[in-house]
Amino acid sequence: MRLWTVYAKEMTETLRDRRSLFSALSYSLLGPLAVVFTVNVLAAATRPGALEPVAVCSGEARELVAHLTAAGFTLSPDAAICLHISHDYSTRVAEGGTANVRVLADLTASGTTVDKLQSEIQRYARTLAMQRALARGVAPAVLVPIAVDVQNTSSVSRRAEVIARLLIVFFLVTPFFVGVAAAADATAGERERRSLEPLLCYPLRRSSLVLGKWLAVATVGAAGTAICVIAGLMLMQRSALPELGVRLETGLEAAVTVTALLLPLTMLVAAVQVAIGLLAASYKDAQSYLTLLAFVPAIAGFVLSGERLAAASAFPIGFELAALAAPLLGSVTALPPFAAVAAAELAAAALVLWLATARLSGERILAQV
Amino acid sequence: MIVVSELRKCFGTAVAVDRIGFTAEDGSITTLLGGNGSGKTTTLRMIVGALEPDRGSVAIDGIDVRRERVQALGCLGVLHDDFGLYPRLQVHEQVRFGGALHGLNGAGLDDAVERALGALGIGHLRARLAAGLSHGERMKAALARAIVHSPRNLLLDEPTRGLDVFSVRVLRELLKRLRDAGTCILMSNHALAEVLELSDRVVVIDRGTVLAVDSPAGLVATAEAKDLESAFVGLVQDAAQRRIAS
Repeated sequence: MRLWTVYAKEMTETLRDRRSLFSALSYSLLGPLAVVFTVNVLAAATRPGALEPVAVCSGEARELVAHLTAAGFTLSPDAAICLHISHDYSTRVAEGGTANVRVLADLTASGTTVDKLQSEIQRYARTLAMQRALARGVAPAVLVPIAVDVQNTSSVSRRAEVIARLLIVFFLVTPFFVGVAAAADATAGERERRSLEPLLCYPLRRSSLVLGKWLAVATVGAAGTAICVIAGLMLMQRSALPELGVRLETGLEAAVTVTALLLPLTMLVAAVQVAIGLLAASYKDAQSYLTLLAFVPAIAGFVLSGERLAAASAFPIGFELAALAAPLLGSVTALPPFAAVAAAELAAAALVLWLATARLSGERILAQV
Repeated sequence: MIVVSELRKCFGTAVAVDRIGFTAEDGSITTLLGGNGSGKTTTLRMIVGALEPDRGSVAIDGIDVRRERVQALGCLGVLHDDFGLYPRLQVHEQVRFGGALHGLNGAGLDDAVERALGALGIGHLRARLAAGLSHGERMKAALARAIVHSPRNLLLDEPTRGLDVFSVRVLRELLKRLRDAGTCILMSNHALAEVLELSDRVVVIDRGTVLAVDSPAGLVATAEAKDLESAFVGLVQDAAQRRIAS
C-alpha cells in the first residue's frame, strides 16, 4: 500500500519539525493549564484563611470588632486595610442614630477582603436594627417583608458546569490547532518547496496521496487531542476544584471517553485541513486559513448553550460540545447516538477527501507552483 | 521507449504545444532543445501525465499515459529541475521513499538504495538531511532517487542547470552508463555543450512545435552551420521568418 509510504514520510517530516511539534504540544497543554490557573485563583479568593488582616486605625467599637473577629477577620495594627470608626460611634449607636465607619484600602489588591468586610459590617448593622425595632415594640419581621430562598435544582453545580464548559471548549479546539502545521506543510508546503510535482510523477493514485497525507494529519490531531485531554484532566486532579465544591470526573475513564468522542471529529477536521491546504496558494495562506478555521469551535463553544446547543447537537461541533459534558459531569443529556454522528462525520470526511483528490488531480494545482 | 504523438495543449486561447511528436529510443539519449517558453516543460508534464493533452498521446514502453497513468509511470524515473527533495529527510530516506513508491520493499529496497547511492558516489552523504546539502549534492541525491528502481526510461528536466563542472561530469558519466545499459533517456537542456556531448538525437522545439529532429552532427550539417549553437539559432530564426511571411 503506497499510501502508507506517503504516511510514513509525512509522519517522519512532522516529527522532525521541532517548531511545529512544540507549538502543537504547547497548545495542548496551555488550555488546561489556563483552566487550572483560573480554578486555583477562584479557590484562593474564597478560602477563609485568605482574608487579609484589618487594622482599627481610629475610634473604638468593641462589639463590632468582636463580630468581625467571630466572622474570621484578624486584627493587626500594621494591616493595610484600615477601619476608621467615628469618634461619636458609641454615642450615636446608644442614641439609636447612624454611626459612621470608613474603610480605607487598596481595592485593587484587597478587593475580596474589603467586600467581605463590608458585607460583615452590614450584617452587624442589620442585627442592631432588629434589636432597636424589638426594643421599640416592633416585630423584626416588619423590617423583612420578603425573605428570598434560592435552591439549586441542578444535579451539578453552576460552578462545575462553567469549569467543565471551559475545559470542553479547550478540548474541542485542540484537533483544530494541533494539526495546523502538519496539514499546511503536507499540502501547501509541499507545493511551495516544489516537491509536489515530482511526487505526482510516481506511480501512485492521487487518492493514495491524499489519504496518506490525511492519515498523517489525523494522527497528529488525534495524538495532540489525547495529550491535551489526559494532561488536562490530570492537572484538574491536582487543582483546587474540591475547595470550590466542584466535582468533575477526571479519571482515566473520562479521559478515554472524551478522546473517543472527539476522534471522528478529529478525522473530519484533518480532511478539511488537507483540502484547505491544497486550495491555498502558499504555506502562509494555508496557515492563516487553518488558524481561522480553529476559531469556529471556539466561537461555537461560547455562543451555543441551552436550546441552541440542543438544536446544534445533531451536527459536528454541536454534538461534541453537548456530549463531552456527560463524561466530565456525570450528567445525562438527550443526544443523537454517537455511532450515527460518527458515521456522518466520517462520511463528511470522505466527501471532503474526494474533493481534495479532485483538486490534486486537476492541472491548476501545478499552475500555482 | 517513449513515443510522443501529435501532442497539442492550449491554456485558454494560448497554444502552448501544437502537434509535437517524436520518439525517444531505448539505449539512446534524446534531448528536447528549445528556448524559454518554447513548450519543453509543457511537453514533459504531458509525458508524465501531470497535464492532460487536448489532442495526441504519449506511450511509455507501449503503455498509454492517459489511459494507464500509474502503470506507465512505473516504467519511468524522473528528475525535476528543482529536485523536489524533502528538507527534513536524510539522503538515504529520500532515495528509499522513491523506491518504496515504485513498489520496492524489504531487502530488495535496501539493495536498490545502496546501489543508487553508490552509482552517484554519495554513500558518505546517506545520513545528511537534504536541507544541508550543496546544489550538486542535492542533484545527486535526487538522481539517485530517480534511478533507484532501475527504470527502463529516464526523464530529466534541465539536469545540469546550476551545477559545477564536477557535478556535471558525474551526471554525464552516469547518463552514458545508463544509455549503454539500454535505458531510454529523454531530457530537456539549455546547455549546448551538454547537448552536443550527450545527445544521440535532438528534438528542436520552438513556440510549441517541432522544428527538427536529428543527431547534433546532422543538425549542424543540414543547417550548414559552423556549430550546434548556430544551427539551433538558424532553425529558430527561419521559423520566425516563415511565420512573418505567412
